[in-house]
Amino acid sequence: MLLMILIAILVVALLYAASLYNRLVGVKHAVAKAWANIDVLLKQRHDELPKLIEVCKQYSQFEQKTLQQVIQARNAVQSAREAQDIPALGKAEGVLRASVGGLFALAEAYPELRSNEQYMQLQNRMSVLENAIADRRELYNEAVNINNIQIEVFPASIIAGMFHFESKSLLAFTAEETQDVDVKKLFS
Amino acid sequence: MVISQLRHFQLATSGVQLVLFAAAAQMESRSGWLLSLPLIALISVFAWLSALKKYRTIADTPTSKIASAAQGYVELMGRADRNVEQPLLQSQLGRQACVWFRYSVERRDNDGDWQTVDCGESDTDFLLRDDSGVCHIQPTGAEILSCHKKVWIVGAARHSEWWLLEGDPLYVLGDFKTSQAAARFDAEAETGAMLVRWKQNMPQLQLRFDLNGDGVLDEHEWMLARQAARQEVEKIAATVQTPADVHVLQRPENGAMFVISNLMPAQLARHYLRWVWGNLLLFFVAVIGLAFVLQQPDF
Repeated sequence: MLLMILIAILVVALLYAASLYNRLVGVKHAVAKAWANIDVLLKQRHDELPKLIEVCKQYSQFEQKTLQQVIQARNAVQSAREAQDIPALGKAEGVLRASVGGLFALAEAYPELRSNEQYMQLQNRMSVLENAIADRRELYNEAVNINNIQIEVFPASIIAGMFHFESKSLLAFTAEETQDVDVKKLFS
Repeated sequence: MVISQLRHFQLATSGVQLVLFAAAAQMESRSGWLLSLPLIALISVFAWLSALKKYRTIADTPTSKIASAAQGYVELMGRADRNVEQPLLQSQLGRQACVWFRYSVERRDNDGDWQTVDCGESDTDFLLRDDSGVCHIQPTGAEILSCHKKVWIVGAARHSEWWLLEGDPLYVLGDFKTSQAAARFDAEAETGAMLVRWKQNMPQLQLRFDLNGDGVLDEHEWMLARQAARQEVEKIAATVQTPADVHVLQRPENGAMFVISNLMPAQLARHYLRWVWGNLLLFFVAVIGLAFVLQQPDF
């Protein structure tokens, strides 16, 4: 009788271990999927930004320094994105958001630019993309959080250690994201 | 808390386990128990793994926002709302205004047990709203769990109804699809149609684009006409209010879990966790019972 119960416990333990392994694989892929969902939007914005810069460039007096900042920040985001360097991406994303915010603030001083249909469409598109990126960042961080908790809690931590499941980095945008744009400074 | 619809598999497995147990008890024989207890154990272990998978799907799926949700399998949370394009929905028996209902009518049989004589549920679309947007929910094929239930007696019949009400907090897990408004606007096709319209008034077309005045539109002049048509089409498109993207959540085609509930994820997870523990307990009871029967040759 005891042997039978021990075998039953062993069977349940093995099945449970297998289900834990599958769970860890599932949450790992959920993180990868959440990252891919952000990546596709970052790529779209990367492709849209040159169009915005081109439209602004048509106005010769538009401040070149601001445009240069946007280009540099765009390149930094692209490098971090391609390397899948999450901390660097968070920092670069913060800088890019601040630069694009500065560009839009500066554009307020150019009524002709503001009345340009293509500019308005691009501004709207940029706003939609940035909101979507922010939402998907939340989703990504939730997926990362679930992954990191799962590989640390007992008994999943044993399986995670045996099969080298790793914790992932949260995507945190730097403070520039939340800083108000200093419009006075931009126009000085 | 009342659960309106348990997963069919869970119900089926519980039913089979009960039937096996009752059959073995009625047979009052050792062979009957030796046959039924291993089967009960086997079914319990499958039901345990199934409930565990469901529990983890709910616990491990991050919540998306409607406006930025990726296409595919997602979890959304918000409030239930009526689809104004559909007529006001009222439940079958109690005439309760709702966004979804399920009902059953039961009567007692000769043994005094309640037997279902009629049941059904609504399949009308309704809406889920969060702070970012609206999603159409197609409830067909969903496992719907509601905390709103009413049971009452009408003559010899017992009526039961479950509802999802307008304004209820709503949790959904399913296949998310978006038909994009932008994709519905085909600039190339619209430009072609514009040129066809212009061609119907050739003198006017030549007046605008026949730059060398030879009475024929050459390749360069046609290109200019085409550019002008494209600009006009884009101008019109910009002035016309673009319809919003339509998001729909429906049953996943790959058979993945499709859940709609006005219970919060933590409550839902607890619900499945109870099934996990229940089936595990049943498994061990069956195993211990089997070991006991095997040890007692005279049983």
